[in-house]
Amino acid sequence: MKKLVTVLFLCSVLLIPNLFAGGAAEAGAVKAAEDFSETGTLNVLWYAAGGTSGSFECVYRDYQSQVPDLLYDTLIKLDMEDTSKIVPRMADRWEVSADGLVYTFYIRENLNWTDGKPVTADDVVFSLEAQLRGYGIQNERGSFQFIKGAQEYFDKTANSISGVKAEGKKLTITLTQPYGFMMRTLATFVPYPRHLFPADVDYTKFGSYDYWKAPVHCGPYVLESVTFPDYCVLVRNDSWYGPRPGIKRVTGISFDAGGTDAAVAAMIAGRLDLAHSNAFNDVNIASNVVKQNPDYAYNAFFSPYYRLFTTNLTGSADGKWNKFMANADFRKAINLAIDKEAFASYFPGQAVALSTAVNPGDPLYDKSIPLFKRDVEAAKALLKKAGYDGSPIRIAYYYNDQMHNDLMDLTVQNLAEIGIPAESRVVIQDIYAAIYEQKNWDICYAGANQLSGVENYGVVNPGTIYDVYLGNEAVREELFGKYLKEVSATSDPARLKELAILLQQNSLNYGSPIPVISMNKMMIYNDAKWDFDPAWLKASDLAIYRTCDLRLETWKLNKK
Amino acid sequence: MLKYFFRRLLSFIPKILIITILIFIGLEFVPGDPISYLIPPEQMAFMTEETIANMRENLGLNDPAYIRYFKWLGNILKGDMGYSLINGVKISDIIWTRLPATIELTALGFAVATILGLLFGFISALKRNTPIDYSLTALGMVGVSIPEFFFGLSAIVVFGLTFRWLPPGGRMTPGQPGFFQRIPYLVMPVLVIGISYTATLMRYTRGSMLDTMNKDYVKAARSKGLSETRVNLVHSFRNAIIPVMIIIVNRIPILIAGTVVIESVFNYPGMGKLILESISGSDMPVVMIATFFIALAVLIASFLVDLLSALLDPRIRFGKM
Amino acid sequence: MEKDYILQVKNLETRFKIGKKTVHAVNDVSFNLRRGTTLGVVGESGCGKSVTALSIMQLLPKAAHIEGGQVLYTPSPEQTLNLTDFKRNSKELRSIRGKDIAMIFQDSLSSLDPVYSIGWQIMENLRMHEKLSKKEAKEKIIRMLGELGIPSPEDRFKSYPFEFSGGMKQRVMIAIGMICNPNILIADEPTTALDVTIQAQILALIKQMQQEHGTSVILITHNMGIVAEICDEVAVMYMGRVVEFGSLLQIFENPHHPYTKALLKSVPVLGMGKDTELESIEGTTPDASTVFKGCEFEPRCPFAMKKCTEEHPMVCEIEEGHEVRCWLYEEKCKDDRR
Repeated sequence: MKKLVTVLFLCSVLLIPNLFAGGAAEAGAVKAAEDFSETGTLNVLWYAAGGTSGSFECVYRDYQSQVPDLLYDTLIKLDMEDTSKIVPRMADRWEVSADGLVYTFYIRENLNWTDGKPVTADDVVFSLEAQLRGYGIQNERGSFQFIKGAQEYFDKTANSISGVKAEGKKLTITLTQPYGFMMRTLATFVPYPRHLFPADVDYTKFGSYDYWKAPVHCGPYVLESVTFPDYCVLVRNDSWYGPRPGIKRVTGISFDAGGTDAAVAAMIAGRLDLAHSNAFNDVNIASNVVKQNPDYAYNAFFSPYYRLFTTNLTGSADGKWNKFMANADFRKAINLAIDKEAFASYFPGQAVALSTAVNPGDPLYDKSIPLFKRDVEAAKALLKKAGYDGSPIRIAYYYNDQMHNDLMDLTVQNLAEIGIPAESRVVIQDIYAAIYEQKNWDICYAGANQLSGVENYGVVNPGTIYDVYLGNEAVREELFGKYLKEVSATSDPARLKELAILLQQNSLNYGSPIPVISMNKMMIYNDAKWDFDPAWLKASDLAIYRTCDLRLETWKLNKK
Repeated sequence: MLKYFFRRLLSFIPKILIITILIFIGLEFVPGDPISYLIPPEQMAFMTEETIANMRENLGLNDPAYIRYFKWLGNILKGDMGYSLINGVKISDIIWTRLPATIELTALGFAVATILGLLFGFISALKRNTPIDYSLTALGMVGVSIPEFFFGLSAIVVFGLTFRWLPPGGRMTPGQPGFFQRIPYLVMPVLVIGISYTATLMRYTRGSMLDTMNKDYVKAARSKGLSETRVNLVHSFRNAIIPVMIIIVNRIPILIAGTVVIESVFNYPGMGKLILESISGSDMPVVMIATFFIALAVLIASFLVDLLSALLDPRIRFGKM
Repeated sequence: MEKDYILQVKNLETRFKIGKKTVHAVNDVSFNLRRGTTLGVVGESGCGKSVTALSIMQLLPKAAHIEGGQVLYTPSPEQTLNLTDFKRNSKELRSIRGKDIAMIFQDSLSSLDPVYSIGWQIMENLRMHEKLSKKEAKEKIIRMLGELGIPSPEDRFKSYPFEFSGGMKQRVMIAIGMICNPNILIADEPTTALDVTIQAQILALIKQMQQEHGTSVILITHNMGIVAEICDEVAVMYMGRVVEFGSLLQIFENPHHPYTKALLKSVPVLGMGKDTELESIEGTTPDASTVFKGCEFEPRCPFAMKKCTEEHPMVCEIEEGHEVRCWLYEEKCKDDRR
């Protein structure tokens, strides 16, 4: 009897894997004849940036994966090959007044949330309010401050945004000044249904509402099931107005912060078909995946983000500020002394040493400016011209990891070579007080988005870090301000390019900020399984990052 | 027995309080301004001083440490665990998605490791000084001396990436959340998390078995004409596991603490991984609550095993010890 | 005549393997146990008397094995079994253990399993060998406990060993041994761990049991006093050999072997003269692994001759049922049983 039990037990243990395998093989055999796009699944990375995924709150705060983009819709999108072309989405038509101040959007007549309630212009108003008063930090917020009454609403001196009006399906947005990036901003802006939040919604706790556990949306896919924090399953929304997406089922597999290695393993094992995230922003990771699983391929996208040294032109709280920082020749000497190639060498094939804030691959790049080359002699000459007396400078930096510790040590060395004694220290504790109040540094290593000329030159947000490095207002106005006003108002691409070149040249002459490297972003994907419009690989990072229409109808799955 | 039970239960309260204080103090010394993790470097530009000051005030980051501690403790007692600093999600929501995963992993790991450890120790003692014993002892040495994450990574490379028999990480295939469907995902972490535990247990069980096998009562049992199986199991083994229970209790915290590493290695979304993620994000409230729950789990598990060993040993059961 | 013996041990040899050394723990041991009588096996600690007892039921530790000899068990006139033919822990041997031959160990403190109630432990033996319902078994056990003088046996049935005193535990051990009404009870130093008053009680109990159930008893002890009190026949052992075997009277009144003589002088015996001094045996017991060419007692023997160092003495039956292993009595031998 005992023997019998043992034998039975062993048999059952041996059978278990066979049962699973057998089942899978059979199912595969039956479906082989069918269209794999209808039966297969595209597994995409569902990444909870910097935190933990306990809800879809990441949609609102910040997201780096395709999942929210497939579920949610925006008023409009841009075309990935020509970003001046606008693709209608939730709004099927729109009007912009001749002075560029009034935008009117008409939301599609039959557009409903997945709970069956109609989408109204009021939902957009609600979402704008949430964006302005929410606890999170939004790319859009800076841009939305051009909306009339936005500042008052943000400051809580008004109970509504006076520049936004909703009448049924008609939405009117009035600006205080013309703003060329308005459409681009709206292309990334996701509206939420007001009726699923309480009337007295507390925007500072916006992410904690139960809504985010099973969100209602109106995008090309619907949420079929979700298990936090493991995965979500999206199925094609057959009642969606747009062109029919090619792939029926997409799953988001969750990887939290620190899950990079696990996601890499999942790709090597063929269980994750698309990873596009800051976490994979490393060419070494991508080439490792491709080496170990030849089904995969990667592409380095042009990215608008870059790393720079900001300069302190206004003095520090402790009085140890180096007065030469106010001298443009001194700043230019620092620029020439830094070994930007060394910074770039940490990301082979991905990072580019910069001479201006603009990536040399960007059409806005000023081709008359030569690519960056370190020049110790020229730097020394500039120091002499500035009458430099050997007083030390202090470097602060934001990224706390070994790589940056090494790079900052290198920078200290580079500066010592031209005769500037320097010290570097990482700013972790209360970086904002350090940067805004004490300013006990002369140059500070940080990151910025070059794409937004507005962000880059600090006109829109007085009191930000760019106030500090651009010095007094008169200089700022003269060198950058008047051009930037035009940048933000114009939507003419030719004029934009002219302005971009002017700004780059002025910035180079002014010696501030000091650009270091631009970082291209990585997309790693299962090339054998997944097909998409090849324009993707040519288009910039924008295509993935929410702004452009992803052309879901071109997506296809191949059976391997 | 009841008295014993309640005495042990009452000792929970000071233990929990001490744990919370220790957690709080520890986190006070963690470097990093939590506010700096709320803002990605690329978006620093949008922040004004005023906004930051407001954020600080709203998050209560300006109060002195002891006030924050009591506020936090009071809220916990009210059942309000607060919000994640990183994404504003209710911490209770995060915990409830993570806790079952860890309980499943550790409970299975504990069960498998205990069964294997006792079984191997038992076999090793019965077959002492034979090749079986020597190879088990050698394996035990390897298991104790090599850190588990190494086994984890090796297992991923071999079974997950080279042969692709098992998923290299995660907890389930999307759309297949059933327990039996999840078994392939559990195999590696469950086995790996208990390796050193199994090895330790095996060595102690072997020693304890050899000890009891020479006891007079085992000889006496044999003189009753009992079968060897019965003598070894009902008398030798039954007595041998009593001292081993202490090892089991002592190793439970180590096993549970192992989840921090093992869950991260296997991308297994449990409490251990949550703690690591939150530490790297400086998400203090989440770290505190998660650590608190882990500590609570250790206390409860130890308590249960204590009760079990009391049941196994009549001398404790009847208050003789 | 032979049928009168319930157990005959013939030329038993037991060896221990400790590392590379072999210890001859039991050498050429022979004795007979008459049905219904008590046989005392005496000797100093380490003389092999316990190993002899364990060899009978093959309860030896793993390092030990029986190399030669026979253990003939005659449960009925028609049947004689040679226990050394059976494999250690074989089914046949197990059916004899506890049922036909029971054993009581020296240290009652450690001979009871600490984690089971005493009732359970007695029940384990009983139900192993007899098909009884739990209820019947329990009644029988309680009766036995009562017989053995354990107060309120119904309540004590569920008690654990740690709740008993040493004497009570030994009574429980006797209960375990006697519950199946065995033919032979081997008591290995049953009273050593107990104080004197309890010793007497336990011995009386063993005697009582023997009389009531007709059990044959092998009593292993180093205490000549106990032997004098309850044994019918005595085997004196030294260094793994039986040096003298005979009836109680033969041994006590007419000891022949120098070791037996010395042993008797070294222990107080009832009726001994007030002025008689106790003598100790000269020298110390040699290490158990020492190999002797001649007599093991020779180094300590006051009568040692040259021959004693050269050759093992043979066994001489100097009178009916009285055997001595000594060269002194070579010429007195009734027949050569070397």
